[in-house]
Amino acid sequence: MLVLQRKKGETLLIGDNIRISVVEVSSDSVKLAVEAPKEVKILRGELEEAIIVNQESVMDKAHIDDVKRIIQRDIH
Amino acid sequence: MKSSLFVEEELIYFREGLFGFEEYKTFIPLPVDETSDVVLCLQSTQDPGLSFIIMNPFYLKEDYQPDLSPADYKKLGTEDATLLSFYVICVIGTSSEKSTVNLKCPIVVNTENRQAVQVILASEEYRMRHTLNEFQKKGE
Repeated sequence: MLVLQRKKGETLLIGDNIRISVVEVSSDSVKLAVEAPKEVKILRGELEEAIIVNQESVMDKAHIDDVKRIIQRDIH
Repeated sequence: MKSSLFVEEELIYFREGLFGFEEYKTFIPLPVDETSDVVLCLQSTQDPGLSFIIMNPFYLKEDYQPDLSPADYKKLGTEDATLLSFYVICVIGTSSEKSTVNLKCPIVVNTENRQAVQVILASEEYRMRHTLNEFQKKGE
C-alpha cells in the first residue's frame, strides 16, 4: 500500500485518466474531487457494505414462518 | 392491460432504488403478521421474489436519531422532517440473536409525495448489523 501526504488543492494521478484532487480539509473530514472515465465505478467504502447487507436482507419467503415466530416471540 | 393488484396510494417510489437494487423503483409495504404493525414486508411491485422485512426503528430504539444530510432532504423533496417516516431493514434468522437490523441505512419516506430514499447516516453510533436482542426491553 502506498501512503502519501497531500495538501488542499493538490492532486493525485492514478493511471492515465484518473485524477483525485483535495478540495477541502477539516478536522475530521476531507472533500475529494475525482475525475475518472464514466466506466470506472466509484463507490464510497460504506456503500459497498450497505449493498452487501441489503443483498443478505432479501427475504426468503420459504422462511416466512420463522419470521412470524420471531415477531411474535421476540418483538412483541 | 394494466393490473391493479396494488393500491396506488400505498406505493412508495425509490428514484434511485435501494443500494444494490437500483433497478427496482416501486415497492409496497405489506403486513407480515396480522398481530403486528411494527414489522412489515417491503414488496417490490416489479418482482414478486424481491421483498425485505422492514421495521419501525423507533419501536426498537426510542431515541433513534437519524440526521439526514441536505442532499437527502433534496432527494425527498421536502425539508419538513415531520413529513418523513423511517424504516429499517432486518435480516431475520432463526432467533433474535441471529437476526440483525440495519440502523445505519434507514429507508426514509416522504409521506406526502411517497418518494423514498435509502440513506447512509453519518453517525457512528449506528451500525449496519445490530442484533435484534440488543433492543429487548429488560425484564421481558
